[in-house]
Amino acid sequence: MFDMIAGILLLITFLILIYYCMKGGNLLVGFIVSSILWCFIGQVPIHIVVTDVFQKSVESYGATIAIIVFGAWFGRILVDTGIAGYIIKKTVELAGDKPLTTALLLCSVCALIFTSAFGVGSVMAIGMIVLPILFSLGVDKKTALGSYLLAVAAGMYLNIAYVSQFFAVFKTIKYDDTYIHFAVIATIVHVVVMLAFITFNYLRAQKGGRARAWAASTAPQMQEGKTVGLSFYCMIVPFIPIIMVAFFKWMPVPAFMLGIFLGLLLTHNMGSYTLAVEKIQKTLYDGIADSGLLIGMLYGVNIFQAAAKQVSPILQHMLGGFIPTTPTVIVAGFCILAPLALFRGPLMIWGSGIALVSIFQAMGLFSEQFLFALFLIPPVAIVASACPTQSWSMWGLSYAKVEPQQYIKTNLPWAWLILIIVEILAFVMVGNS
Amino acid sequence: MMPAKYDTEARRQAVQMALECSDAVWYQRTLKSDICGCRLSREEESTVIDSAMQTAADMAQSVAARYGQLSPQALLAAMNIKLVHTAEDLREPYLYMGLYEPAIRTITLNDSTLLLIRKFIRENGLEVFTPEEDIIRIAVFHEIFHALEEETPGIYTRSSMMERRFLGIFPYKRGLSGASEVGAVHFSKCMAGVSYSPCIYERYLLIALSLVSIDFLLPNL
Repeated sequence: MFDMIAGILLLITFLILIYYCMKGGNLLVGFIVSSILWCFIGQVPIHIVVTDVFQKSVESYGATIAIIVFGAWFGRILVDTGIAGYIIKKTVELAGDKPLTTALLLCSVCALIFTSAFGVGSVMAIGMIVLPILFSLGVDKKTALGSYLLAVAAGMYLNIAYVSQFFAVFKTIKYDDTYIHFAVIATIVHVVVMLAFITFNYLRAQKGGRARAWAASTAPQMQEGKTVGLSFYCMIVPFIPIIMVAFFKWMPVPAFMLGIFLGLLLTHNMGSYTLAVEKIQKTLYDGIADSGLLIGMLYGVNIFQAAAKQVSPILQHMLGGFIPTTPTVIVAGFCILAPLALFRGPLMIWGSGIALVSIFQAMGLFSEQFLFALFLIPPVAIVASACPTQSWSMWGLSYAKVEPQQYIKTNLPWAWLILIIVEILAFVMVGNS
Repeated sequence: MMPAKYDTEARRQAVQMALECSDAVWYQRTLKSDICGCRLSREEESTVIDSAMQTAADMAQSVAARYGQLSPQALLAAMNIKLVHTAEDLREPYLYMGLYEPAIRTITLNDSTLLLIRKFIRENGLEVFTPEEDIIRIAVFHEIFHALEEETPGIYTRSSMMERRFLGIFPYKRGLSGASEVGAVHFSKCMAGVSYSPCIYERYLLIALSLVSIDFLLPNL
């Protein structure tokens, strides 16, 4: 009887958490309050609450946080040394004044940059270069924004700092060859759909000719100073961390440190000790500021997950008979119900979906690999590609003056298509191993 | 106390100096700030500017011959182009004043930027050089040029006039969107019959938003 009442109360709080997340509530606060409520409802002993739920869960996350911080620092190096601007400038020069070619090349290059660059600050800083270029080429604002955000998302499958976040929840998963093999294919699929998105929307909007604007743009001048004196070889820097991890089997932190060092060296920021120290301090500070809120939210996720683990027997008892136990049915369910990841819904692990993950884990019927493959895709394919609650998407919407509904309407069908393809790929390549 | 170089009189003097610059100097800046441009030799730059100016002047003559001396609004009606206004918030660093969308044959004027420029002109007593009501006419004529470009196949400002080599080996031809902008600015100047370069309005806007200091008003700085 106790289990039944407690189970109902846990489900009620879970539904309230979903509602709260979907209404845009602060996730850190939501997770901590839910954790306390779940511990209280599950009658978890206080010494376990203060040790296992609130202490060990957070301190065991140190390794992942280090990767996130170094990833964000590296992202700032790419932006502040002018490397990102230089690559973008060269891409645009190469494409000439053909808007569609430029948009396709530019977004592909952005996807490549974001396989290493991480952090909302990097997305914003690079967006401040890319979006004005797309606007001035006559690409309409919803297509420009949608393309750029799809490009950012495309880089995330391979992005070590981004993927590392999942390792706290799926502790046996590694950024190994199996994963990299899958991530490369997922990135290619995502980029192909992104290119189709750009072509379709551009051609639809540009029927009858090319839109032109009379604009006073400060973007070229802003970038001019930073990119002066850079040479073509600095274009290798964004790919250093991923090359070192994938081919030389380095750990992520030294790989990022090498990238940071080469980024400073090849952009002449090590000309003097003072200049180098100033640049190092500024980029590190900005990188940590970029990732601070994300880290807070992830701490909240870990606390909530630890609380869920404590009440898992109750949940298992309650839901064991309702949740499908066949992996293919679950994958099909995810593909069909993909929009439920929007607004931090139950399919979004960094939202109310963490409770669903915890329930699945508590049921003990599915492998870590399967659950990782299942929950990795919606945050990239749906949330980063089509949801206004993604931090950098919020910035993008405000910058480009695009309404959230318009953004969802434009991007969701394509994001859904990406999810279906990549979710099946993930199931076959990662989830089945 | 405000430093002397930022007072109204200093601004007026700086504007006067800027307006004395030739069109070619202003257009060099337009080409340099072309976001999709490429490095040009002095000779290429001069050829592009001269040809774009000539194209614009010819176009202005042909429009006058075809429609007569019409106001921008009357010309829009004659060309079956719609004019709409928007008060969209500014989107730095992309600050557009006018936009032509051929798919819907519509010119959109951004009142947020235009009003800011007009306010800047009023507050700094610059009407004597650049009457504030000119900007609307100039912005409309500017966008009309883009509409005419769409209807004129093979027009120089939309052609692939630059010869380049990919990786220094493979030859290819590319256009310059900056050439189209030079043409549009020059066309608006010819059609509005003003003596100054309409490019000054872009500088007014950037200064009004404190994105550029008055020290950088001159186009060749």
